[in-house]
Amino acid sequence: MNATQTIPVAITDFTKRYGAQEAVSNLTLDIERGSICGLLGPNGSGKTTTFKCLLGFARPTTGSMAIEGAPLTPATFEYLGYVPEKSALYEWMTGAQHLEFNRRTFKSYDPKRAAELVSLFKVDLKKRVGKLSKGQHTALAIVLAFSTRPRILILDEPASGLDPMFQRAVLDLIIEAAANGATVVFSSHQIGQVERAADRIAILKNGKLIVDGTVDSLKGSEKIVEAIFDQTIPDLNGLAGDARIRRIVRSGRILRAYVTTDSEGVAHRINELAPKNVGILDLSLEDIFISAVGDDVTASPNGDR
Amino acid sequence: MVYVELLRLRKSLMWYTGVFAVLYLIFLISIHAPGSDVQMGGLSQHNGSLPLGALLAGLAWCPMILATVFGISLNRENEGVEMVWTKPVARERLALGYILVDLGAIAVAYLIALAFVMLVLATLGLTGAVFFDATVPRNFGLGLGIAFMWYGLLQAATSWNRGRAGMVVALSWGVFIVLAPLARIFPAGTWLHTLVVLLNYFNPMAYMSAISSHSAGATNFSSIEVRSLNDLSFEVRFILVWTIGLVASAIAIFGWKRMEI
Repeated sequence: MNATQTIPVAITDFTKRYGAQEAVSNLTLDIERGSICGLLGPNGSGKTTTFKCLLGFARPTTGSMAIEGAPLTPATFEYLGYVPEKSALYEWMTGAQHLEFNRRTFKSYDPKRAAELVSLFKVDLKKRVGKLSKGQHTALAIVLAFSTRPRILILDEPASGLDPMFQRAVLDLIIEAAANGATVVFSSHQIGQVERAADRIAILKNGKLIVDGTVDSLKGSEKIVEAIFDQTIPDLNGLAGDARIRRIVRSGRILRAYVTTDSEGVAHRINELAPKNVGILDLSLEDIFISAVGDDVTASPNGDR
Repeated sequence: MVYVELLRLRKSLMWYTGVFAVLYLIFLISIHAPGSDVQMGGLSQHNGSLPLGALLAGLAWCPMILATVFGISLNRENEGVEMVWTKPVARERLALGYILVDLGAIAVAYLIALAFVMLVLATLGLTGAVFFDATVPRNFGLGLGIAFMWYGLLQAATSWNRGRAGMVVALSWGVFIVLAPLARIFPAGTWLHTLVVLLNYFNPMAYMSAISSHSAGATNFSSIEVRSLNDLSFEVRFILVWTIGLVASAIAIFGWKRMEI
């Protein structure tokens, strides 16, 4: 198979244990060429562990990782760009020296591209990295990762510490790279960023993949029926047992029902509880995320909780 | 590939040379101070001449000190190892590159120390007393080998983990300084004596007396001596220090390559 036929990033039945603790359990994820996969999850959910194993910083306990159909080799990094969650830059070196390091190491290094990115993010190349702000650290890491025009990008919190204008620039870079055929896997705590850039979402919780799908399919899979009550939420009258409702969340005077089908019918039924207001909302990625990882009230066949 | 390490070495060697420059300035001031009288006791021991081999023997401490500075280069990388491990270069090749340039820098440090001494002798008008003798390549090779041995041991102890390297360096100085005289404290034939002698085979300082006792004129530059090591021929010592250095470096490369973060 040639490079265009293989799956750029393939994670198969991957498990990573640290002693007795299982950081990631049986994760299988194939990321198609040209797609942008947003890897989401709360802290400690296994995102960084997955990245580490994907990049060879740690070894999977079981399972396998493949980049363009083959296990990772040093040559892979000629076309793979990476931005780590925490800065891995040399504090005592200048930005210019970092670029020089890239120039000497990568055949694919593109000085013109690097200059464009430096200008875009206004990185001061003469300053020692230790004297740069956190945002400038991130910006320099982005410049380094994109300066080789990689066809696979693994970005762990790539916009961390950047101001909103530069965050947008990072997202534009990601989208542009994917439009040019690059495959991007990135994590972010800012769900709005992921929603804007990603076409595929994978959500990890406690090391397990709990949601995986395209943004459109996930958003179209459910509706939220939201009701606001004047006082406390009354007894739900067995609403949790309704097969159309996957989950119910109560937050103060607000009741939200995640509905898989017939949202109008569910809204009508909730209206019988005499709320002040009832509405049917489309799911946002934030709703999907919170619904997936939240520890709040969930409908169960045994009654309302 | 080794660009970052070359930058580090350049910085360290500049500091090192700077220290010698300051020492030279102090020396200049002291010889021009009123009533100063420079005594060259060593020269009288050698009938007014100074073999270069003996100079190298005495200067073997200098590369050894720098070896303990450079000996944690792989560990230093570990703080931001994501940076180097995502370059299209095999880890073992990268680590080997680091070790080779470090070894080169240790040799340069040795030569800088020699240049400093020659400058001092030139200032005193004594360069004519220095002569190139047969022990020069031997002593240079052994002096460098001793430094490389210490370097390799430090790399092996620190390459596979993050942090704590400074502590290991300090500990190595303490342990190695104490270990050599211990061989004379415990009576020969006891198991403790045997153990200490065995451990001293891995003690770079224990080989320092070996380098001086085999230089022309046999001036003993070192106060640390392990008799059992002195009984070994120069060739055996030479092979031992380089072999230990090489094996330890190989262990360091393996440890670094296998490390997980």
